[in-house]
Amino acid sequence: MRKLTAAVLGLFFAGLVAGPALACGGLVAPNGSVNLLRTSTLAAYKDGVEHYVTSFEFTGKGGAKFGSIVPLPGIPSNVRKGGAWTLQRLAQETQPVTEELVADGAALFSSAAAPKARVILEKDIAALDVTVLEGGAEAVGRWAESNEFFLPPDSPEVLEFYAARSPIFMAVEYDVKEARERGLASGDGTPVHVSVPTSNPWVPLRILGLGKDRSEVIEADVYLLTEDQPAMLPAPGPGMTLEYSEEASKFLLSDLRSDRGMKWLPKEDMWLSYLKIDTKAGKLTNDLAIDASGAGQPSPRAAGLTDLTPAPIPGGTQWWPWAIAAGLVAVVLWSNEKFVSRRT
Amino acid sequence: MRLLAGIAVCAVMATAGFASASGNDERTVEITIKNSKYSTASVDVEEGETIEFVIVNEDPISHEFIVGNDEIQLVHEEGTEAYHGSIPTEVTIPPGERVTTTIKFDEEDGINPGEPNYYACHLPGHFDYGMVGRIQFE
Repeated sequence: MRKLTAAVLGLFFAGLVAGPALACGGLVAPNGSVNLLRTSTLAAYKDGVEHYVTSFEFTGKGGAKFGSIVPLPGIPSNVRKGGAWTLQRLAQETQPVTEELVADGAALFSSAAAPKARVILEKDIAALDVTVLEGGAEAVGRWAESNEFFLPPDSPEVLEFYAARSPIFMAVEYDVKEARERGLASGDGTPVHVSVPTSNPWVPLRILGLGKDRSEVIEADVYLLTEDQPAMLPAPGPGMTLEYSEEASKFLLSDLRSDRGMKWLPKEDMWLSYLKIDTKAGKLTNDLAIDASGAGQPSPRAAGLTDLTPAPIPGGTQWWPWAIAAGLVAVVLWSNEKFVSRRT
Repeated sequence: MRLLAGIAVCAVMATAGFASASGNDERTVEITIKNSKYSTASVDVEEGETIEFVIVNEDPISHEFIVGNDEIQLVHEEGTEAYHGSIPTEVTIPPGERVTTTIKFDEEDGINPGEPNYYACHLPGHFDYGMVGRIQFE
């Protein structure tokens, strides 16, 4: 039996947003006009631990600082500087023709009940000040305001959407002044690797529309790396197309494993999927749930689609576990009936 | 101009029923803010009337309740003041809190019944998002 190992890689690209209604991070610095060029995110899962590698890139113009908030499925066990080329290597593998993708990133926030956020962890990574918070929407909102950030007007709904599943959020402040002192140029990114023990991975998508008009188009690239062909919810379709679905090459996995903090990846037997998000912000009302157990049952709750039943696995190749299960149930019932019959 | 366009839209909005009316006596009007929306699109007032507004912010982020004409609204839309609290017609409501402010609707308190007046939030993006209501003089 194959190990229950799965990795979900999410790399987000979206349109450049100018002006104070900064969307990707959900946080806006007063009078800030910094454009967050791209936030790239990797969420990977193995042995009950989800790994996020998120890279923040910026133009370096405008205000003194800016940032974003990323919702997490649980309390992280570790936060450290991420690998240098993992996200780029995945893009190269699935998008061999280099595109000039101007983007802003995924940003999530929290919301909940506690009036004051509990700071679980603080860490400086290059020019980034990373703070992991536990609390509700109000707690995170207060934290943002106390740190001189404004949240966009659609943030209450989004905060509650995420806080209903997890009260843990990661706030990242980018100090442009310090970035310049460190010699970072416009477009440079700083990756952050967060390890989070959790029962199943999910990829936040709704956050991409934060602060944007409902008619604005959201573009994002999402990579999934699993040991088997993954079950996804919602299933790929209009607005989220499956562009690539093949077994990951040993060469790719070797490259990824050679990056900082990526040794957790197996050397072989991984399936790489690439989903392209291209839809209007008003239609992006859910996240992407992945079933990493092999049971083919992604969680509607994790996807923010509590009323939906799990979507079929792309390709329809995993019908056999259900057939086997049904057969086993039938055999057990039959055996039990025989046993009872014998006793009576 | 976005602000004027927003006000124009507001002006044609249906005037939702609102609070309690009790003649010329001071009355209390409660407005709830949820998902960056005021619970009512307009407030009916009589010239010279004094109203105690109770603004309940159910959102996890701060909001404003700025009362005044086009000029006042424009000043705040373009302003950078992060917090209001000392002027009855200009208040900030922190996340999850309720704030009470009493306004007398006459020229003495800076409200001219002869021109359109509004209440609005001018934190970044909030006005365009629809956080504006109309003061309807009867």
